[in-house]
Amino acid sequence: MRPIMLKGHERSLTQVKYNREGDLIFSCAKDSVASVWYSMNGERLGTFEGHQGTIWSIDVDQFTEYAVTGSADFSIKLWKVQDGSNVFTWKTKTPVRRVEFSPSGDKILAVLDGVMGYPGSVTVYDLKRDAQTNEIVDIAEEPAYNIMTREGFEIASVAAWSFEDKFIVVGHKDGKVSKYDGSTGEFVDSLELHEQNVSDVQFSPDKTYFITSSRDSNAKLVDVVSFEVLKAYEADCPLNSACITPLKQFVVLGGGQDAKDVTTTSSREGKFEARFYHKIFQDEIGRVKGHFGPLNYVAVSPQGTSYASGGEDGFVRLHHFDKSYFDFKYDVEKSAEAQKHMQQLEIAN
Amino acid sequence: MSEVPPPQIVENADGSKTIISYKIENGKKFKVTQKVKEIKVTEKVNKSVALRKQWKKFGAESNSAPGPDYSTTQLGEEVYLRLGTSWKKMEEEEEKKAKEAKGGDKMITCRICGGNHYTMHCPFKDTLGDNSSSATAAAVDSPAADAGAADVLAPGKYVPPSRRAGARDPSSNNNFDAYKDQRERDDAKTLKIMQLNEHADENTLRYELLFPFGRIPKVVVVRNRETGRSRGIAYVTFETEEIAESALNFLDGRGFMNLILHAEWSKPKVRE
Repeated sequence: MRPIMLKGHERSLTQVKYNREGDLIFSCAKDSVASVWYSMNGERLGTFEGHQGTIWSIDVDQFTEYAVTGSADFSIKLWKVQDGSNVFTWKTKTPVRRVEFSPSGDKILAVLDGVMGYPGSVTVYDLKRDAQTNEIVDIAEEPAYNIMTREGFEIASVAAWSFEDKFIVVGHKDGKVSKYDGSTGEFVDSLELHEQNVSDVQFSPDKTYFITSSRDSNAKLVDVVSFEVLKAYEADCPLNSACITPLKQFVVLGGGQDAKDVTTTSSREGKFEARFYHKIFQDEIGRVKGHFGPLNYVAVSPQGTSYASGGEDGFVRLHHFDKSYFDFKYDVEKSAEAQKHMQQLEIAN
Repeated sequence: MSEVPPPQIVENADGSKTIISYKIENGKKFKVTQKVKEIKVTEKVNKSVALRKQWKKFGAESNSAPGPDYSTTQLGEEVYLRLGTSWKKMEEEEEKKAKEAKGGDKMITCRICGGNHYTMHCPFKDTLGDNSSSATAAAVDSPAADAGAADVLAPGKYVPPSRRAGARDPSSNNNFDAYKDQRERDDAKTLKIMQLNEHADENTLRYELLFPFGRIPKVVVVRNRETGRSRGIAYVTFETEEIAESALNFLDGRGFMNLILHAEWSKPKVRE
């Protein structure tokens, strides 16, 4: 596997995302310019310029028509992907930590930081689209609703939408994960999942279950409806991100020593590797080296043929998987397949 | 010069084409026959993906040429993802091999047990290490204390680490006081021979006077530092005390090179 290094950012990466078809990669970093790249060859299509501070988060809608960015300059910006023009800007009270389009593309959630006397919230904005062209025709300036930080919870650090805009799953700084109704913002359920900050929440391709990663070195797979932990993965370093691979039954975890401790350790000891775990068996099955700093975000293409990681070192490394990746199977899987094949033969005879 | 006929295209039965063309080069006419088979490869691409491939670049890339720009897109070094439950073992083995190829850690030798680790990390530090220190302590107690050890007892006086009791040479695996000066002698086996002829050097003494006493580890003739002339004194160290004693009896009062020798036991150097 030869990674393609995307060196478009001057500071550490904060998020990397694929669009639905997996042909574009959106990246944002602590410099104030977001980039979009062709995943095929790593060519940069363009940049989104206009923010005044760190861009903490970026997302693209399912039609690849619009992108949204949330920044530390107290604003959320909506962009047209095709030409990089700024369509709309929402002003917020505090820095924006995470933004995401709902699966339908009709809503945007934004995680607002709890600073300067503001308690922190997950704020949802409504959009109206043209039914034919999917173009956004009306943008609500005021939020549809605010999910304020509840009592007994610390502020939210990450949030994500479930299937059909039904739920919003929120990861909190104290390790709790809570669930809210997607249309009204009402509290539904919560879990004490981790001991430290939940650093990432990413959904499965069908958005019925999600994986959380935490600074306490654990990642957990949770069903969104029943809100039960399905699987747990333990790593040997703090985790910044986790994602679920389509096509193969794996999860990818990324992390590493805290950025502030990095100068005191070599890259070998810092554990700046992407770790592959088997989703079902929960075993660690491989690692990919390459970054010089902790991995801040990992994302797998919706087709499951490549993955990209954004590091504290300011690079995005884009990996297209080899054949061996697709061929890999556990012995039990192989024997089960062989058995199935034999049964089929017997039936045929 | 003859005219070039137009190229002919013949369709073959198997679907391939034969193209016969003519060209003139250096006044010579050539006939070129090419057999071509055309295969149509259809690659299915999502419509929207194909559309997006035609998009114009924007932002910082608005003026750059099509295709990846080397300043932002580079190929990294090959990385390996070997999937398997035993990947850790495989990786460890590889590292071990790489280490061995480098020569490994064999450069490090423990001075206590000779093992492959630093002396300070020696697991036998407490057991083996204690032995040596108690040995020196005993030596200090005894009246025949080593001069170096005696120095340690003198309060308020700086003693360099190499002279301290129990100091060992880091370059040797042995447990004896290798830091001790090479020129220092073991007085128990050493004789001081006086009234030697000025012209008798170490080799003369070894081969003409001391040959009956077996191997002589060390002969030192004391010389004047400036002129290099012998001062008629030599220190001779023998293999054992017994040989040294018999040599004392033999040499004392004996004539050698026109002079009568005077031999006695060597005494420890007096340090000021």
